Amino acid sequence: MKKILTILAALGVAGSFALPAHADPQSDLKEFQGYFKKKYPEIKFDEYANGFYAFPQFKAYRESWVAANEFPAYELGLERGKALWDKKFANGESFSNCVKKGAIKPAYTYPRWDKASKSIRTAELDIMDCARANNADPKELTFLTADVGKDGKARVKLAELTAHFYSMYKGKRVKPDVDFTDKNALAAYENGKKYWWTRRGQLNFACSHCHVEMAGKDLGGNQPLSAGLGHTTAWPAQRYDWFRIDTIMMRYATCNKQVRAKPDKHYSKDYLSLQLYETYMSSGLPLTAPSMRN
Amino acid sequence: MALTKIKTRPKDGGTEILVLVNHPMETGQRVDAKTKAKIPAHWVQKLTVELNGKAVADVDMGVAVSKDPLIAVAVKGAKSGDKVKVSWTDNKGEKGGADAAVG
Repeated sequence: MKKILTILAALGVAGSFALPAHADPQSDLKEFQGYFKKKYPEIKFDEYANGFYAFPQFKAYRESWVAANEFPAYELGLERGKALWDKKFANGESFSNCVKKGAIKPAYTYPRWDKASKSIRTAELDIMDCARANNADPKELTFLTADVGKDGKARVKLAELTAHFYSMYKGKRVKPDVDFTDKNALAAYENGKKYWWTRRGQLNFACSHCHVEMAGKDLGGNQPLSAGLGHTTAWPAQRYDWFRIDTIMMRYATCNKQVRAKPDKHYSKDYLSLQLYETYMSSGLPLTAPSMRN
Repeated sequence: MALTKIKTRPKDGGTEILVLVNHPMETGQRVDAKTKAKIPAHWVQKLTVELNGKAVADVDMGVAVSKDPLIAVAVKGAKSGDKVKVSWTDNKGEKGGADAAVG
């Protein structure tokens, strides 16, 4: 009986959005990944973890990317992130202990749904909570108190720390730890899905326009568009013109700006839902973070 | 703290030494968007690459070089275990460098 009620509740949530498909996450996933498989049968599934470099038409971009990967510039930030990660807190605890104790889960399970707080938890949020629980010095870990959306230095510090965390799980397959039988989790997922498919900004583009329909095209000749499949696997990443490792939230904000829409705050409900939706759609791909990106 | 990282790899029968320096490379031309004050110049002036104590490259760098520069030097006859030493100075007199062994 309980099961039927949950299914009814799930249907109720899914039915309330006027989206292309009234489907459960599992069939969404199949359809999303199937779309790219059908459109680009020559690209191997795992290649999508490399962003738009997977597309054969972007061979020229790929060549410079391969060259950049010989000695990737993110190694500088990664080394700083490692130093932060290895440094013990005043009480003798460390980030690795948080991983051992389960306060920080394996990177490939993020973003996860936390039943107790009814919220989406990303690796960044759990890392911050681990530091807070151990009374870390906010003067050193500046991102604990700063507004990471505005304070670039604090945000990059967090991104470097998270990048080091992700680098320990490189190659592991993405599998977000979300229980979709929980109706709140499903609602969060549906919110992310809605965000992905909704038009916004002066240019009136939805995420899906560039990264599903036009994925693989070179917009204006200098804006290669990646496939939505595999978007999150590379983040935190370093973009050529950023000269720093940065968070996926920052990337979302810049995406919004590119379609002339007002960006959200870091860890806003919509961005978290979007990260959940994107990561779930990339289920099964290997983690490549940190990476170089265009 | 400015980080310096070194990597070596075989290339065209010789060895390529790659040096990555974490440096802002400010030209002195840029203006702070908020205060409208010029950001003072800060760039690597000289970078030296030594192989077993012998200089193989003296690099005179300028402001046209990008932030976090990557310098590649091709050398012949380097053997595995040979010592590579990199040192640099910038226009503010700051120094940096690193040691590595040919892999």
